[in-house]
Amino acid sequence: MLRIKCPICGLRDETEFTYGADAIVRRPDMDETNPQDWLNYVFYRDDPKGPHKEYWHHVQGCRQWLVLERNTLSHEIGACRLAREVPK
Amino acid sequence: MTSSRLSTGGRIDRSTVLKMTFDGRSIVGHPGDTLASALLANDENVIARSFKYHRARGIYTAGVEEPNALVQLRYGARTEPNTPATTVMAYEGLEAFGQNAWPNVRLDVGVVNQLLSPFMSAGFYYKTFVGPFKGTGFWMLCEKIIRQAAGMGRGVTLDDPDTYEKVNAFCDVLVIGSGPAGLSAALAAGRAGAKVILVEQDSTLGGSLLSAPVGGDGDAWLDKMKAELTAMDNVQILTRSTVFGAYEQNVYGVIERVWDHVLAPPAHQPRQRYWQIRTKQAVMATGAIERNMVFGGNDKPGVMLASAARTYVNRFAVLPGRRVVVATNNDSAYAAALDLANAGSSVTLVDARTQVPEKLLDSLKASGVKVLLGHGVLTAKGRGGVSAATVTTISPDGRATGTARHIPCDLLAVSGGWSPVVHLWSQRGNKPVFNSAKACFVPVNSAIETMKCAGASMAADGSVVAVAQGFSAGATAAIDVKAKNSSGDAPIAPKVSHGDDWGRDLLSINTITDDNGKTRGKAFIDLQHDIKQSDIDLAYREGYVSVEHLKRYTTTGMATDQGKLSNFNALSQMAMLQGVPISDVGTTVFRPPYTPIALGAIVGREHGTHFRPTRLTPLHDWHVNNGAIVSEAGAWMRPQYYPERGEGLREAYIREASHVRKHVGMIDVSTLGKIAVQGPDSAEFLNRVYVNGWKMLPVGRLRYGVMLREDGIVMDDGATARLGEHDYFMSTTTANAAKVLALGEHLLQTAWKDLKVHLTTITDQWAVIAVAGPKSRDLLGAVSSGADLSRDALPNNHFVHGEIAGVTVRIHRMSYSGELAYEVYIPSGFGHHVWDALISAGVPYNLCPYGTEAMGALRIEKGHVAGPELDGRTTMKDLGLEGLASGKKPFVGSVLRNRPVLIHQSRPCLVGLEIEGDQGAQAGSLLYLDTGPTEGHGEGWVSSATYSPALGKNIALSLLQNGPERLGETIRVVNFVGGTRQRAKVVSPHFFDPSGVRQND
Amino acid sequence: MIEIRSPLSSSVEPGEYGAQSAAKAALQLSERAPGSLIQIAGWQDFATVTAPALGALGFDGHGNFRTVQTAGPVSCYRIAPDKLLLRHSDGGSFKELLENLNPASSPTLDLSHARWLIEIEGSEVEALLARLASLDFSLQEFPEGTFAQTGIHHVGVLLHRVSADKFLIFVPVTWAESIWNLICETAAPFGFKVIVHP
Repeated sequence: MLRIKCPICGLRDETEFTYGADAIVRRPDMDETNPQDWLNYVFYRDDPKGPHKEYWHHVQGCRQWLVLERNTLSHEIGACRLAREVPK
Repeated sequence: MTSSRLSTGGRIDRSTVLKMTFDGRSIVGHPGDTLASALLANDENVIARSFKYHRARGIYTAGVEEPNALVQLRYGARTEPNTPATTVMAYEGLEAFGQNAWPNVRLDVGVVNQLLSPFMSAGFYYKTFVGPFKGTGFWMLCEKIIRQAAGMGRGVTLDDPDTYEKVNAFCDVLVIGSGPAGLSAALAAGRAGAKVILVEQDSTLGGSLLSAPVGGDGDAWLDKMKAELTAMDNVQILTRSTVFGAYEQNVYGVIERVWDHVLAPPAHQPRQRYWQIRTKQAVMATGAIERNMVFGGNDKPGVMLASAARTYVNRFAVLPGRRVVVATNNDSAYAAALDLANAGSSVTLVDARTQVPEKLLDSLKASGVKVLLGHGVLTAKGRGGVSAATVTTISPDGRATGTARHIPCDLLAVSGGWSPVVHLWSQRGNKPVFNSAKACFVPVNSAIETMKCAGASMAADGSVVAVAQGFSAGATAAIDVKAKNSSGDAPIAPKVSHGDDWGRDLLSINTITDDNGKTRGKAFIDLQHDIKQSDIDLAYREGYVSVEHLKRYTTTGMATDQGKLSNFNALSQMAMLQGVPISDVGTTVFRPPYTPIALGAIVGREHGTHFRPTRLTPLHDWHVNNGAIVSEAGAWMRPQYYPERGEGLREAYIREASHVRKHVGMIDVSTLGKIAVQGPDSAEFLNRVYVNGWKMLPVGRLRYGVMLREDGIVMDDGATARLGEHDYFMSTTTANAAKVLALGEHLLQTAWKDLKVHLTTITDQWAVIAVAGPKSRDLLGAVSSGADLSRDALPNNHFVHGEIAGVTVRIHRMSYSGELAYEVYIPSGFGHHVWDALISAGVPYNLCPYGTEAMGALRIEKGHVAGPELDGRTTMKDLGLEGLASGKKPFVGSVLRNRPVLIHQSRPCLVGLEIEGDQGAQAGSLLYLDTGPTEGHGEGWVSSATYSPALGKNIALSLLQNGPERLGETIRVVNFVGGTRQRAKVVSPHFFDPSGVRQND
Repeated sequence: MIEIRSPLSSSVEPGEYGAQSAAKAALQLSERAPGSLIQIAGWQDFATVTAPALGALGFDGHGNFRTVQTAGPVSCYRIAPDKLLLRHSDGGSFKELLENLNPASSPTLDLSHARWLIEIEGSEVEALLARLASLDFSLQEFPEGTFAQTGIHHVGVLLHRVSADKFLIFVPVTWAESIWNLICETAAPFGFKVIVHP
């Protein structure tokens, strides 16, 4: 069981959230036409062992998308921020 | 008074007699007994038959580590297999049965398996499955018989009559275990003012103190501790509760056996409670488990851990043997020998060591115990149970050096050292380290900042150290959680019998062999899985030397006890074979649960109707009250059809669908996903998520749209209405509402932060009724006011506001059925009221409600795609929706939808099928050329099928390679599951009114 | 005036249920229509833009994510960084509020029919909620006059602690019956009374 500190709602069980996706990848701009950029965004992922950033959605709370730092090896949880406040 | 029950002593309530049965025979016990102690008191010595060889087995331990005495507890729907008799509290009316034996454990026919034992060695299954018998009928037969003969108790297929509940808890300090260390920890943290939960798996607090003679210093100490702890409001004590799992971020799983200690729980009370405890700090004071020794016949009834024998004497006032041989390699068994002798047994203690402190020897001699130093037990003799121990002098590595002699005995109490219970600490992802002086694996106390280990689980040097460690751990934990007060002074440890420091001068041998290094007879490592020492040897010879391989190849440690007794001995044998220190062999990984738990407790109340939450539309009661058959659609319950007298599904939906085309029908479509899209950039947002354009949609209009996933596959479709300048009302399919909302929120909060748009689910705010059929306009015109529904004022894809029965509603004109049709949007709390008004007003128009089945038939006749076509594999082109996509703007999926694989010519595309014959097709059937083999995946598949009342034919929608170019071709429709083969003509998917005359009327 | 139909019409039956409790009414369960519910959203300068309208209702700004602001019959819940949920318990209209807000910068949304209220009250209220949601319901962590959004049986709900022994649960109407039934089952070991408000 992970416990995630939502910046809005406080420390909550992981069951209130849904996992989003890798928060390292950046969505290409809307007018990007190069398929490779989109393939990279949709399909290509690093599989880091250790610290990682990922999106979580507080669906049963404030419905904010969060960027959470999680260690994929130890499950250690680091900072958690509103996705909207994380610079691109 | 039963024969083995002592006349005095014990922590039992002799004033109450509990009547129980074992294998149908009456036994009696007292409150405070376990089933095991009651069985011993009643001279029941054979409790079970072993897993592979059907060897008679008795009670080996007094705790959760029990490998042998597994019983089938209770009967009927409450029966519970593989329950250790040592963990079941005695209660009035208890019924238990021996397992794995026919006709019973005393006389078991399966004992012939022992003769087959050479064929059941390590890797038995792996070998026999690849041998010459592989796949043969002979082997299949053997397998069946062997599988039936091997095995454990029987599971139950009846519904569990009891309830279970889950509770969430929060604390500052969780203390696990209530022996001297755990109690001291709880005291320190409690005094400091921390919120403490103390969890004990036993029925009462005390841990190892409960095994000491009654009336000793330990009892007084325990009473004092209990009094101080129970007086603290900030300390919660859970007994009969096992911490089975330690998880990330200090979350612990606990099962409390609330009402397991009675025949049946009281009305409304849960049998078990699953606590999910979130703490800031934990103190692990889980103690240690004694190990047995490996020698021939070490599994026989009458062989028992020395500490268990002591527990039975002192705690339960049961004498487990009158003539006792105690075999040990450490100090702890001396207390057992002493207490057995003081209770009246004649005792011989056999110590593998040659040097023992005088103090220990003197106390035994004073009680008449004979002591043989430098000796070991080579075999346990006896049929059915132990009748003698074969004892010999041994070398320091456990080999016989002298002539063996028999010492008659009915109890052989063994101690091969102790294993700290490191499971919970290890579950957090840590590897324990080997302490060679004490021959055990111990946790590294600094490894987890929020989990402190104390007492025997750290191999503490006896109770004095355990108390000090526990108190210090509790006090430190309290400081770490910023508790306000001081913990005060540590309690003075109770005076307990000498020998409680089992690690002192322990001789690390666990196996006693002949001088040739071989055990004499069957010497078991894993009693529950019948893994012998020779199986480990064989696995080593065959190259399975890694502990993880060894475990899986031999299955040692994989039984329900998870090798609590056996793991160490298996590792130590492997170390010996490899000629390396045991620390180099390593340990396997511990995972939850620490002891077996009932799945029912984890499930709690989430089963049956609460397996998942159910979603009901505001009109649900009407459907049920008017005879609708409702069916599940995701979480929703929806009316599938409204049968008239005697109708089945098929008759009903055909009638309902025909009725809609002739007159007027209405259906509850409140399940549609509905999302408010608000803000100045809403049109831009819609333009990005839909494939078609939205910038020009005026207020008062609505438009059908399709959304793709980022990878270019179709995700969803639906209509969106523009209610105001910055205010849109989006509808999605029932199934994808949550997905669409989450994706929209994601994009707005990550990539499109510059767009001023808010999304809010309003699915619950609106009831929606679709009114369809040639008379729908007349009906709505009659029942509503303030809305001009005329063809010119309200063409397709327009909406108006009006009033029905005093309720302001919004009427969208759009058709899913192909008929003249409307959707009426009503604030959900008024939905029922408006539905009633429509029903009343509908009489002259012959209005009839219809269900999802008829809705499906109508949409298939029109070739509209739905869930079965939007299956996560199809593109717009596949579905004939290509024309919708705007070429002038980018949208989600607009680049990747043109991946070569998604635009390949041979992709299956949407077509209609007219099925030949009277039988309809089954969705999921595969399509093949009319002539040719029906092999492989075929050329496509049937996605949706129905009988079409309008056409009088069985029709289907399907995806077929090059489909649109094959109109008129006859193909084969094969349903491999149902075994049917049909022929069908490929036609346009727009079966009915392809030019849309009716819906545009 | 047409009465709003309760999503619990076929479930709420006054009476005593579950275990016989020695204490007087360890738990009382009841339902309420929410009255009027309206959501206000916004973007940059959310606080500034909404301040005058909220001020007119008697609120001093949009508050924090835990505290329920109340002014007469109106309560205000800050449910997201830039979303507020206002409840008028008498069902009064938010006409003035709507007039004070510009839909381009502060869109509003009527949610009066989207939620239903389940009220639980009694000495065992914390114990009951601990069996339904994974929050710490002790008074210290969840004081009177605060709220939290969480999940009950996987459904997003809003919990408002009205007093030490009383909570309001805002439930989406389509899930209300399922949640109500689960609450009743969970309350059975304590014994509970279902009451109907006049």
